[in-house]
Amino acid sequence: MGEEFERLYETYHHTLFQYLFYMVRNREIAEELVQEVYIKVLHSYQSFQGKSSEKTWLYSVAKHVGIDWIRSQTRKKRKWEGKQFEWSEREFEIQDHSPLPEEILVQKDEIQQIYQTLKMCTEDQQQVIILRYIQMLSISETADVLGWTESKVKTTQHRAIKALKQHLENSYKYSVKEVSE
Amino acid sequence: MTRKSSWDEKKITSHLQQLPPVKDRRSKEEVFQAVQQKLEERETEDRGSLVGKKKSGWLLPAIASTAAVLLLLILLPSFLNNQQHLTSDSGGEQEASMENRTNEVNILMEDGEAGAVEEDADEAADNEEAADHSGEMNVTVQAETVLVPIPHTEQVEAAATVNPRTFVKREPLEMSEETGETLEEMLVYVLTSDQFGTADIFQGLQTVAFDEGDKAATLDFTEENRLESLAGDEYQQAYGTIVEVFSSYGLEEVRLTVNGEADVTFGPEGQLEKIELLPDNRGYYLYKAADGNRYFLRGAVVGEQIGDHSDTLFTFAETLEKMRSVRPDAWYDSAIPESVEFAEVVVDGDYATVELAPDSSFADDEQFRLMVSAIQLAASDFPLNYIEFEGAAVEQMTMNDVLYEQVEHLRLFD
Repeated sequence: MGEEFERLYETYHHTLFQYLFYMVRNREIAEELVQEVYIKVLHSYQSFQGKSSEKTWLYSVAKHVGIDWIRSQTRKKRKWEGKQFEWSEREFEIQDHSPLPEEILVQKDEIQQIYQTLKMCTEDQQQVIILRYIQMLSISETADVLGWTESKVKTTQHRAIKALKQHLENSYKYSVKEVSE
Repeated sequence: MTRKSSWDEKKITSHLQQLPPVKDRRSKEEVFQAVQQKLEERETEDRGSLVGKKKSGWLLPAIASTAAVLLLLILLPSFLNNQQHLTSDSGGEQEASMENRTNEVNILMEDGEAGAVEEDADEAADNEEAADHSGEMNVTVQAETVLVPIPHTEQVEAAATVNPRTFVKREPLEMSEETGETLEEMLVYVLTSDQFGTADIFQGLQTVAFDEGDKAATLDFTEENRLESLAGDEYQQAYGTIVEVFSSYGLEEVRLTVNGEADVTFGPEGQLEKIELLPDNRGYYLYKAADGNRYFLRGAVVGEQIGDHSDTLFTFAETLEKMRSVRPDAWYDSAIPESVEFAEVVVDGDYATVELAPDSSFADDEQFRLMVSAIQLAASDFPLNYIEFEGAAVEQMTMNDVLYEQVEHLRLFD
């Protein structure tokens, strides 16, 4: 087994897998994509200039792999449906119809609700939430991964939480309405 | 009874952190095999695609031409719409004046420099995000709720005398036919409505107009005004209200006119054309009224130091440090408890981070909230849009390691 692969696997595999999982919300796809990350990283390791840390570089490769996949699915979906969907309408995408992953299903209702509602945030907002709150990256690491300024990370994080709150309140209102009807 | 959603930002961030870890169930060997296999497949695909490329040399130019035609089709209607907008905007003069005011408020919002329209801030932020993705220009949105300074006057005992003191509370007011459809109309409503306690003294106020060049506002009254008869407490309330409400907008003076003529007798002052305001401010302090209500007051109006000895206004960090102490003879308090110290205050663009020293503490939630509100208000005198509070004491109060607060601005022409 390649030494480089072994080292990367031991140090980062589960972190990168989890990052991709929360991005694409599907275990099998995350498995495929994490392999893709290894291929890209092993191909381009020599070009890694050390401007950022190895960790944030790997995250940024994973981010590109994940986003490319999401966008390719959106394109496929649009082609399939024959109409244009906005990015915020990602809840209509194919992978979202799959059942909740086991790890989420065993959580209490409110955690499940947070997981379900997260997909309604914009792409940027989801990225910041996943990196900051699930992957527990610092502001400066998140800025490195996303190629943003720290200020943009903070602003987007603030907006993301507000947006999430709004979506949660909306789904609450909707559920209350449904019950009363 | 309406049930409320129990979601707040603290709870959301705490739940996000509780989302479970998800691990790849495959072994290291299985992942390695999968990667190897994929690499081999890729090599085969690459060889195949090299053959394909030779056949499809026409494809790229064809796509490029189609894209150019599509782009033209997308841009043309949008360009035509813009032209129509310009034509309709240059309609009647009166209409234009009202439109401009509304647009000006919105433009300030979109620049993130002033935030008088609460709901618009989020919408503008969303538009900004959408623009990031689509590369389109942001479109001005109509304001619905405007943050306005609501005056409140209290009898305050200071230096053995009791005098009326005016404070302003920033509150959202919904635009309507009754409250007004421009900021100027809404200010007339605030000052003359029975709801806010100044209707008597501002009787006859018919318009408020802003002059951006002179950073001034003109208050025009009808002949039925009471300005001349104002005396004692009423005069002080009128004066304090004008100074506090219009200084909040960063204006330098207020001119008083009657039917457009600068010939106004203003209570005991006699003939008066303008009232000088106090637009420069640093810091907010806290007054507790006899009924237990608390009000914030601007450092400039109570004579607290707002700059250094060379008349340079304090920086944000210096302002917060100044806010920790008040003049010894003061009738108001600092909103920052003695048990709190700032470890670091960093400003980065429109974002400020306030880190509390590790041994800082708060007696209760109210003390913490009052400090946060005072700092938010202080930040509105700077080009700041967000404040982040950090430190163990913050974590203790919010159950979260950071607290983010948005800064709401009133200043118009900075």
